[in-house]
Amino acid sequence: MKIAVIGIIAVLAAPVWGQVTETSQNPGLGRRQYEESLADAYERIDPTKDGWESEARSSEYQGILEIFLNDLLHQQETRTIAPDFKSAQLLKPETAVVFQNSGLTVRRISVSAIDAPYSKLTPRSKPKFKTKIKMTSVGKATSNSLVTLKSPLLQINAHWNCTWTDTSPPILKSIALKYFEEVEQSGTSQLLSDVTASAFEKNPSYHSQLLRSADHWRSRIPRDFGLDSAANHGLALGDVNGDDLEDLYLCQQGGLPNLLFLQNPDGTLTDFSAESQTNWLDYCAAALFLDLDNDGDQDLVISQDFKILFMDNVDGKGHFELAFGRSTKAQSFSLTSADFDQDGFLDVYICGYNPSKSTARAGALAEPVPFHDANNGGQNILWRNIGDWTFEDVTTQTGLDQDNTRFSFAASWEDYDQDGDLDLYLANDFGRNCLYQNQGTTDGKLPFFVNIAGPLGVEDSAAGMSTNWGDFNRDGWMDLYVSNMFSSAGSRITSQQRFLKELDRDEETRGTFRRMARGNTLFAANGKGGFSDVSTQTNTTMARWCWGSTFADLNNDGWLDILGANGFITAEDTSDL
Amino acid sequence: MSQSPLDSQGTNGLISYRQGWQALNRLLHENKSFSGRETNNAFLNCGKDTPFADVSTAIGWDFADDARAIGLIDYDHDGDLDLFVTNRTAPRVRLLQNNLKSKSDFLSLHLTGNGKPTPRDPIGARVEVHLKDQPIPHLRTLHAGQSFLAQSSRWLHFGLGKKAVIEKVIVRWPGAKSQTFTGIKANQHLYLTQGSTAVTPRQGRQETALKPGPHPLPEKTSIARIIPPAGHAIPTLPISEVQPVNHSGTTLIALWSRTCPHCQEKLRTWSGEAEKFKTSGIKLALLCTDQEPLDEADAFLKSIKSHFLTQKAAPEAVELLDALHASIIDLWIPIPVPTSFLVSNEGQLLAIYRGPASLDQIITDTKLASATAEERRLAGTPFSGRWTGKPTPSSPQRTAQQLVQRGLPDLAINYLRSALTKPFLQSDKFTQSDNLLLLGQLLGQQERPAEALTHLEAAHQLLPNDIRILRLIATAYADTGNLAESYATFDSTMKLHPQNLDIYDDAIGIALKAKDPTQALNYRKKSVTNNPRNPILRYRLVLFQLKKGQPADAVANCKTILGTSPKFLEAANLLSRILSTHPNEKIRSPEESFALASRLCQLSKNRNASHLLTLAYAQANLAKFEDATKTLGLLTKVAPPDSTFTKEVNAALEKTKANQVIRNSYWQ
Repeated sequence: MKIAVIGIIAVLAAPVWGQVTETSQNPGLGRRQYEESLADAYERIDPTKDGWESEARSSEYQGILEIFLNDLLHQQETRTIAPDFKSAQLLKPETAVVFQNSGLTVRRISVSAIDAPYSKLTPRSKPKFKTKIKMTSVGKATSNSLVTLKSPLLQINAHWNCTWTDTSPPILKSIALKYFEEVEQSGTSQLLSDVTASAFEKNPSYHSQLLRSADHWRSRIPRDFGLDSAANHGLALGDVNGDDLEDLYLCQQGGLPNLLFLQNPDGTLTDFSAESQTNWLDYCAAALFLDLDNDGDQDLVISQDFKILFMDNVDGKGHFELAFGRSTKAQSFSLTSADFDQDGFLDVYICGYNPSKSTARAGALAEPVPFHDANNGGQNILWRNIGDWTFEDVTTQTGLDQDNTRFSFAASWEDYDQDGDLDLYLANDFGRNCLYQNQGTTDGKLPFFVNIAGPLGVEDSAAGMSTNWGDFNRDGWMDLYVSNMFSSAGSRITSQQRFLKELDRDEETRGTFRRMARGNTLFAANGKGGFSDVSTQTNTTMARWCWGSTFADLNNDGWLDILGANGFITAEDTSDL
Repeated sequence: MSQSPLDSQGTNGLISYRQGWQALNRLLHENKSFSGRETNNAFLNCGKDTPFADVSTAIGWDFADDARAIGLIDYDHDGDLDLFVTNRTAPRVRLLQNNLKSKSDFLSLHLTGNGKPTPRDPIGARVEVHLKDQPIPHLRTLHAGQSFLAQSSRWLHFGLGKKAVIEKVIVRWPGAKSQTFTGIKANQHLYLTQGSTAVTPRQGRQETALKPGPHPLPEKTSIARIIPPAGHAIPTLPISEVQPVNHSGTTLIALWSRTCPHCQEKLRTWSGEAEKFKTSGIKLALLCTDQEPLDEADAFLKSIKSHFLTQKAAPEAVELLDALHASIIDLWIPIPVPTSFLVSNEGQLLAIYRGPASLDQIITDTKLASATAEERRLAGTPFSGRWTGKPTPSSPQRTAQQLVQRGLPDLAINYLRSALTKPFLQSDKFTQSDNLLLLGQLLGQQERPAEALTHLEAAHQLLPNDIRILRLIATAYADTGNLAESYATFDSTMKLHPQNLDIYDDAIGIALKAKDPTQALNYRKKSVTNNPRNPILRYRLVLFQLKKGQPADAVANCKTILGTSPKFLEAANLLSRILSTHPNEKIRSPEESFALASRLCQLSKNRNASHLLTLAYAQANLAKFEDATKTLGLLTKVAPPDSTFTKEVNAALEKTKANQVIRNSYWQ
């Protein structure tokens, strides 16, 4: 899992007991003590205690910038700036329209100059913005940050490069505007509206299970049933009862049943989990609806903890029977299917993460070694469908056992080189990803795969979490988008000299570590079977701690947009790690 | 991340790194945020050669839900993409409807294969939609499983822009010839079937009843009835009999505080049900967690005319109960008051109640004492469903580890000892030997090796070949002073597990601690003999031999390493340094050293500080002092500043500027 151990401010030992109305904090429980070795580890993962001076300075700068921004929005007097403070027009610079469609307008900065004193800066008190500042790098008297201003129909995204005085507390000397983008939706409603309640509300399972967070269940269902903090649980869409309406299968933590919801003609959903016999209580990460026996209905594959289940849709009406089940060699995550050997039967590839049960259940996180290029994870498996509800593990004979223990989160098939067979891209959590090129078949043998991610430059050495294929630039070739984590603390720390000094690391290693915290990656196909990394110039990296990301043309303009599902763990404590 | 060892060989680094992960795991158990409150992101494609725009908020997608998987679907069949998303926080699923009002056109296609050679479900099919006057078609591939843990709709959705005229649609069926469909108009949902030129429109659907509306989330609550799996023992608490009602029945240990209104209310209710407690055979043990003397608590009980007596909950008792609670659930919130523990007459934990609990519920739960493991598992979740396998046996290890982590190893040892004697402990030999192993390990850490040996031998009986047990036995023998038996155990274990590397580290550590360097070197050699192709072990032997003043052996071994593992750059680096800086002239080989160093710097593109230093040494040794000085200059740009390493570089610089060769004294 995505861990920049740097970047964590551990608030230890203060028991958090928020909205408790029926119980009180137990006065018998004092401050938690830790055994020595762990206490030391805690110290090390707290960046301020770790001695990273940039972290302390970063939070100081950020606090002042927040005050400055608030003052600026209302053009109030501010004590955060030096007498000779100079800045670009930060809130209303000259812009040009770069996009306009279906009521959505995007404007970008055309000219930026540092020449205005504070009094000349244009305020912007309407609409009422929520603001967010993220520090990306901090130097001795400089800082770079991402500044976001949000209101429901207007959003501003900017990059500010600041210089500071050497005083205590520091005050702002200048701000350069490195980027400014303003997105406006006309009318009164946003593109997406949340219709969850109207679709689900007739189902008791929605109220009793889905309206409760993973943390709610983690604090009452025994952990042995398969619950963890990461709560990586997916979904599958498919028409299980042949009514031309696609239905929803939701995977859940252990002790909570997987849920199958049938779509009704009016768009509401009906819980069919028990009737369908798909209400497995085991920990479940992912599922796929597939016609595995070519009988015209949607069967079901389920990725559980160390298990894979193949269920037959016996009547085409959504009643399932377990037809084939096997242990896997790992805590299993994403599934992806294709008929890789072109025998008319769909095969299934399952991604493996933690290699042993005890590791998996000791906590949500693994212990990858080495962090930036781990190869001690659980195995991925290619299950070949040989018909008649029999599946065989063909990982080794297809060559997919190479680079196969890299803590894999997701994989996706695509004929990226347009040679008529399907290749496989694999996103790994701690380091290099794989692109297995299908070498085709000889003498009736199964196709053989070779990992060519290195030579093609698509290893994307980072914390890979999802893979997506799509032709975003409409050049007729499939491009590749990979979710990673963006860690601003990681960027800050790796960019300073101290990183080298303290860790006795050289530039070679730093580059690797720095890359790990950069964010998502967009690889554009070059039309010759190769790729180039266009993440930075396309503005598609900074997607925070990104899990599922996907190409989707949301406005039908023919150009693929990108959506990302974000955030690792939000708990009740206010200080984020 | 900052703690990651660069290889898996540095044992100390690895342990420290692992502890970092354990600490991190622990923080996640302790309800701490970690990259939390992040909002979902949306990047708008602004067209050819224009960077994407961040439109997360403007389109209504910036939920801070700890979101995970996204499934795309034209749910209401209105020609734009809606989506489902799963979340970690509540609500754990959302359905978002796309309200696009656009003049842009779309096409939505459903594919069916012929079954042979293309699957009925033609996953992997590539579809090209060719528009008039556009040279490059719109592309989609039918995927099953993309993104992360997600499967989107089977309908392929194409946005086509304004005034789209479709020339043709080409489907590249997997494993078969491609097929061209013509006469297709935009803004339709169509079924395409392999081998048939007919195109069937999807039937219209009625208006959906979907309405935007907020989610009223239920209030968060700490109240819980937790039914643990079978087999958890209650720790021995430092309390005496409190309120004997019936000795053969179940006991309810209830933590309370006089200052907590919910506790007061609960005690009022229970006091009115004293008779029912008696007839149902439930003994109530009240433990007051207040710091002050019990007078006020007693006075309160008197004021409500309660016949129950209370005693003080010693801090140790609270800690033990909190550890037990935390060992059962994944989110380790500290136990609040009131919290009660229902315990069978054998000392088995049956239920934990956070907050108030009705006596009727408690009476029902006493039946869990005779329930099977499967029945207990069913009772453990409030929801019905199916399990794929049998329940896994419970083990007392988690509670013990909780206590260890709280710095209470003696309590952990006592708990394990007592739990292992319980008749209800259900464990296979693997779990049982793990239990014994942990007990042995803890005793060993507490410098009680003789006691440790007893349990480790018992574990060894169960799993005779288990390397973890054997390693601890060998160490325990050494700790009891029986070095001969320790070596004997190491020897037999090395025979059994020649490829396990830890055993050599252990043995060498013991030998060095016993001031027996000869034996240590023997074990080092043995590790190499048993694993001749393992470069890391041989590399360690090299370091050992250098220290022992056996440079010729060290050089030979370095060359062996490079013969089998040419990419093991550390060995090449070390070899080059020996060959240029060793004081013994017979060992030095200047040209060879230079060749190695040059190659290394080439491989690391002059960005590896250590390689550059090696090159400088080699150059100096060949009297290319100017080159060496230049290399050192290059080095300062990539080296860690102000480190011990810098001192070495500066010392080298002084020598090269003075046209002197460099000899390293640390070889001797």
